[in-house]
Amino acid sequence: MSAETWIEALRGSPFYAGQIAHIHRVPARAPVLAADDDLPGPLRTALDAADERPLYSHQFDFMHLVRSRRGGVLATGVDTGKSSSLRLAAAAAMLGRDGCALILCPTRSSCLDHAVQLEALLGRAGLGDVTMGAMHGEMPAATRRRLREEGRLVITTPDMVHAGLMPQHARWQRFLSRLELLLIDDLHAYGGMFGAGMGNLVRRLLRVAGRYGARPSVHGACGPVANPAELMEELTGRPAQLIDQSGAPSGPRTFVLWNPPIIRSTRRKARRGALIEAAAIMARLITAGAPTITFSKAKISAELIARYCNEELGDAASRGSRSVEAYRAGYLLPERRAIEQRLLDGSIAGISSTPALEEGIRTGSPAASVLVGYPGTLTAFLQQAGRAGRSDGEGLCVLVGLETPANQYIMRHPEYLFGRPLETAGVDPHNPFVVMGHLRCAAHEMPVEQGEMGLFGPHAVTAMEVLEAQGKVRRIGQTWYHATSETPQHEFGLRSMDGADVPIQDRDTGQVIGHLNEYDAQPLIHEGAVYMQHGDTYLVDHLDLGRKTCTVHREEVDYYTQPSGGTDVNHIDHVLRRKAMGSGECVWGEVTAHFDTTHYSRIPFRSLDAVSTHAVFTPTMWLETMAVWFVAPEPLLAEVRRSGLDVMHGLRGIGYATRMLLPLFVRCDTADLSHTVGCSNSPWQAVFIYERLPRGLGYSQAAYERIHEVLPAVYEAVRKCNCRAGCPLCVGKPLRRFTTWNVERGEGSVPDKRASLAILKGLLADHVAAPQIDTERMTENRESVRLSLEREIKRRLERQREPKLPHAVEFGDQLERPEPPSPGALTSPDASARARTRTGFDRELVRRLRRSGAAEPHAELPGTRLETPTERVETPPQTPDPTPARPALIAGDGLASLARLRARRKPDAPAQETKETAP
Amino acid sequence: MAPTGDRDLIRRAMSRTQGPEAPASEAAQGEPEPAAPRKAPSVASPYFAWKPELGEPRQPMAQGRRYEPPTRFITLDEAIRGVELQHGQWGPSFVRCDAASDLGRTATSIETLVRSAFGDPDAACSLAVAASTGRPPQRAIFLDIETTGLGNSPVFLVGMLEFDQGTLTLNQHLARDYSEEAAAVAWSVEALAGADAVLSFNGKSFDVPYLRARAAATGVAWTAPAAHLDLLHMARRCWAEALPDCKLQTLERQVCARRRAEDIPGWAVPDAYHHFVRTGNATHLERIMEHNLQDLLTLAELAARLP
Repeated sequence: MSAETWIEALRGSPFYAGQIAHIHRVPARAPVLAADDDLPGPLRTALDAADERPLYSHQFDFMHLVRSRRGGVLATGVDTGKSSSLRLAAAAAMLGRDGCALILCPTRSSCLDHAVQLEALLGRAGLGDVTMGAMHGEMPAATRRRLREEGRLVITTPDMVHAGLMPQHARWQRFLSRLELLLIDDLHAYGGMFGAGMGNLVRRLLRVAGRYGARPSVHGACGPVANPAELMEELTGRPAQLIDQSGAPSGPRTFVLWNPPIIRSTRRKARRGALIEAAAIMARLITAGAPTITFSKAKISAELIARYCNEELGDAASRGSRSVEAYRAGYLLPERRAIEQRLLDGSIAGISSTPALEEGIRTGSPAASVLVGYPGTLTAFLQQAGRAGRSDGEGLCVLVGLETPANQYIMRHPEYLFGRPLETAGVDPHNPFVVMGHLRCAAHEMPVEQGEMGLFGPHAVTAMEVLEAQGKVRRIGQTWYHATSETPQHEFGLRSMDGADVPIQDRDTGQVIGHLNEYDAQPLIHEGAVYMQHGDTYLVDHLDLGRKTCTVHREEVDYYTQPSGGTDVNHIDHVLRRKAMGSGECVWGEVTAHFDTTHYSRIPFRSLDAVSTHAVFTPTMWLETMAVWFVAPEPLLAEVRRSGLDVMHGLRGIGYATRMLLPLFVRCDTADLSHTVGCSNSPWQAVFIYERLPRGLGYSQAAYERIHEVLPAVYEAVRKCNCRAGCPLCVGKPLRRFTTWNVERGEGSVPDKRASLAILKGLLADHVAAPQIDTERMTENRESVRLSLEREIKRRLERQREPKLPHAVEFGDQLERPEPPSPGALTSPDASARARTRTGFDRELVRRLRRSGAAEPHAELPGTRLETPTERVETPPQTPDPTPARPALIAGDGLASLARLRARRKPDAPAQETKETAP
Repeated sequence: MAPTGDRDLIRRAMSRTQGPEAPASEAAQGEPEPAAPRKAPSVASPYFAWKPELGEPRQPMAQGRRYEPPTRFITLDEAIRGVELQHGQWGPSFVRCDAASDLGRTATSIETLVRSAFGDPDAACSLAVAASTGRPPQRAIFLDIETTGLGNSPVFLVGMLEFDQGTLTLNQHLARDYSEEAAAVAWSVEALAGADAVLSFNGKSFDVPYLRARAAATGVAWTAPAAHLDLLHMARRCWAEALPDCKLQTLERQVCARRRAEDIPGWAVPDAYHHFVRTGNATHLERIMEHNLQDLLTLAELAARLP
C-alpha cells in the first residue's frame, strides 16, 4: 500500500474534478536507536515482554535527563513516542521504595489512556503492587481515598489538581511530601488563558510540595511548537533543558491540499460542500484499503461525515468491517473507549472526529487522515495530520479547503503550510488578572511569604495589595494570610470556558446518551432540533437550561437542523488599553456580548437548502468577554460616504476580513471570534472583533498588540482578491456559525469591497504600518502604571462578583471621539501626525480619483445594494470639515454618478468575479 | 443558660450515682423494631425525658444566613480573661484557662458528675477508656475545635476541658490572628499527647484528623493521642432510636435538659472570626468561645451520663 495508489484512487474516482491543488511529500526518516540503554532491569524486562524495540536516542536522552533530576522538555515532533517516554520515566520512579509521581494531562481521556498503559507497564515490570490510578471527578470516593492514602502514581488533569487536590492538600500530605517527579504531557495544549492558569497552578503545587519537604523535578513532553523550552520555563518557572533531536523513524508522508470544485456561479456556496467532499474522500480511501480518521470542526459535521460516508460505503451488510463511526466530545467515556478499540482491532475502518479530542484519542495509527478546513494553527494541523501513518508505513493527509478566506489563501499558497516556522506558544503566567486569582488560592493553601511573591511575577505585590484592600487576604508581618471563609479554588476554573454540562436523556429508555456544554446546548439541542449520535437522529423534546436537563427521543428523520441566531456586542464595560492607529484609534477592553438562537432550519441530508424554518424560544445567553475595536475618524467616513460608497458595508467588510485573517497572526480560530459594528455605548463606527469565550482567552489582546501588522495584511488581502466588488473570500458575508441578518443594517448582502478598501486606506493612511505606543501608557511613570493596574484589577474583581448580570452600563464619555482637530490647535506630536495623515489621505484620494477617471469606481457599484428597499439611510453627524479647501469634484460627482448608475442599473447582474480554479 | 434546669439536673445526676441500672441499654437492644418512628421516646428513663416544650433552639442570627457584624465593640481583653502564651518555637498565642469553679454552677455540677463517673470503674465511659488503654483514665481531655471552614482552612480555637485528679479545667487555645495558628496547634498537640484519653464528639472523622492536617500544614510535629473515644458513636448506640437525631445540640436539650439562650450558629463562626481578625471586635468571638465551652461541658456531661 502506498500513498501513490491512494492518490490515484482519489484521482480515478467519479467525483474527481481537479480538486488536488497541491501535493507535498516528506521523505521517510530512519530510526536512530540508543546504542545501549541502561534502563533498570525490571523496565527492560517489561519492554522485552511487550516485544518493544530498544529505546530511540531521544528517549534514552530523556531518561538520562530525568535521572539527573534537571528539568527538561521532550519536543521531538508528532508520533515519536513522547508519551511512552513519560510513562517510562514514571515507572522508573516507582522502582524506588516510596517515591511518588504525578502526571498531568490536559484531557481526561488522555489521563485514562496513560493509566491503562501504565498499569500494563508496571504489571510487566513486576510493580503490580504499586497503587496508581487516574483521578477524575466521577471516580468513587473510596477509590479516591485509597489513591490519596497509599497512591504513588497519580494521573490527572490540572483542573482536578486545582479544584480537588490543592484545597485539601493536607490530606495529600503523604503523597506531596514524597513527590519526586512531576510530568506534564502535551505541553502545547497549554496556550492562552489556560496556559497562564496552568503556569500559576504548577508554581502553587511546587510551593506546597516544597513546604512538605519535597523537591520534585519537572519534565514535560511538547507537541510541535516553535519554543518548547521557553514554554516549559514559562509554565514551571524553572529552567528546562530541551531534547528535540528525534530518533524515531517515520514513514514517508504525503500531504494533499484538496479544494472542492466550483459547481455554482453564485457568490457564496459556489464550491461543493466540504463535508460531502470529505465523506467522499474518506469512503474512497477506505475502499482503497486505507483506514482513515477525519477531523472536522463541529460536532454536527463529525456526525454528518460519518453518516454520509457510511451511505457511500453501502448498507451495513455489504460494507462489513468497512464502516465508520463518529467520535466527539459529548459521547460517554466507555463509548469512546469502545469506538477506539473497534478501530484498533479493525472492526471499523474509520472515525469521524472533532479536533477537541486530538490529544486524547487512542486509535493506533490509521493510514490516512482527512482534515476538513485548516485548524487555525500549524501546531494543530501537524498534530491532526500526525494521527495518520504508522512509523514504518506510508501516511496520507488530505486537507479539504473550506470556502473561507484563510482556507482559500492556503489552497493558493501551500508554502504557508510547508515553508513556515511553527507558531510560538504564547503564555503569560504573570498576567495580573490571572495571578490575582491564583494568589488568593495560594494564600488559602499556605500563607504566602513576602519572599515567595517573586514566584508569581512582577504584578504579584500590587495584586496582593488590592486583595488586601478588598478584605480577601491579610498581611501580618511579612506574610499574607487568606482572610475569608471562601474557597477561592472553587470560584474560578483554569479554563475560562467552564459552563455546566447538560445531560441529554433518552425519553424512551431513560438513559443519558451524552453531555453537552451549556453554551453548545443552546444552539444544538433546542426544542425541535435533531441531535445526532452515531449518525442516528434524535428529536429534542425539551431543553431546560435553568435546570440543565434535556430529553430527546429516537426518531429517524431525513433532515438535520441548522440553528440560526445572532451574536452581538451589547455594551462596553471597561476600556483597558487604547492607542492611536493610523488616523483613528484602536481600543482593547471588556465588553458584554449576547447570543441567541432565534430559529432553525430543517435541511435534508446531502443538500444545502432549507425546506422549512421554525422559531426557537430559549433564553439569551450573556457573555462577558474581551474585544478589540478600532474607530475610524468621522471625517474619513464622511469623505467615503460623499464619494458614493456605503460606509456600513465597508465597516462590516473590514470586520469580516480581519476576523477571518486573524488566525494567521494570533493563535486562535475564526470560530472563537465574532465581529460586529457599533454597540450601545461606543461610537457608531467602531468595528468590534470579540472573543466568543467567557472572559476571553487573550486573543483580542494579542490582536490589539499586533493590529499594526494585521490591518495592512487585511488591506492587502482584500485588495488582491480577484473579485471586483467584494466576495465571500475577502470582505464576505457575515459567515458566523449561527447568524441572523439585520437587513436594515445592510447585513445579508455581500459588503462593498471598495468601501472597505477606502476606509482601510484612510485609516492606515499609507504609511502607518508601524507599531504605535499606547498614548495612555506613554506618559506614565512607574507609580501611575501601578495605580492603573490596581484600578484594572479592582474592576476585574467587581466583574467576577455575583450576580453577574444584569448590571448598569456606563455611558462614559471616554469613547466619544474628540472634535476633529483643526491643524492650528494641535500641539501634541501625535495629534498633528493624525492631522497630517488625514490631509494626506484627502490629497491621495483626490489624486487617485483623478487618475482613474473619477466616475469609474461608482459605475461598478453592485445593483443589489441599491435595490434593498429597507436600506438604512445614514445621517452622518454634521462634523465641521477639517479641510475646507476640498476640490468640489468629489461631492458633486458622487451624486452625478449615482444618478448615472440608477439610469443603467441592470435587474440581475451575473457573478462578476472570475473564480480561480485549482491548478 | 437556663438556671431552672440545674436543680433538676443535679437531682437526676445524684440519682444516677446511687446505683447504675441499665435502662438506656434497653433502649439500645430492647426494642427490636428499628422501623418504629424515631420521634417518640421508646423507654422511660430517670435521666431522659422528651421535652417537646423545649422545642427548637432560637437562632438569633439565622435570618437570611448572612453574617451581620456586631454593633457593640469590645476588645478581646475586655471580653475574655486570658493570658498570652509564648511558645518557644511557634511564637505567641492566647489561652483562656479557667477552673470549673470559675465557670458557674453548671460547670461545677458537671465536674461532680464526671468525677463520680470516672471514679466508678464500672461506668460506661471508664470501661470504654479502659478497653483501649488498659486502665481507667487519670487524665482525660474533652476536645472540640472551631475552624474557619472545611477542607484546608485554618483552625483558630482549640477547646480542651481537662479532667485531672478530680477537677475539670478549661483550656481554650486561641489564635488571635492567622499567624498564631501554629502556636495554638502546637500547644494543643502537646497537651493531647500528654493525656491518657481524648474524648470528642465526631472527633474520629473531624476534630482529630483536622488538627492533624493543620499540624501538617503549619509544620507542627504531630503526636497521636494515646486513646480516642468518639462519643458520637456511643451516643448513637444509646439514643439513636429515641431521638430524632444525635446532634450534640439535640442531646444537650434532651439528655442534659439544658438549652442555650444565645448561641452563635455554626455557619456564622468563620465569618465572625474573620471579622474579629479584621477589626479586633471580640463581641462575637466571645460568643464563639462560650459556644465552644458549652459544647465541651455537654460533652463531659454526656460522657458521664452514658448508660
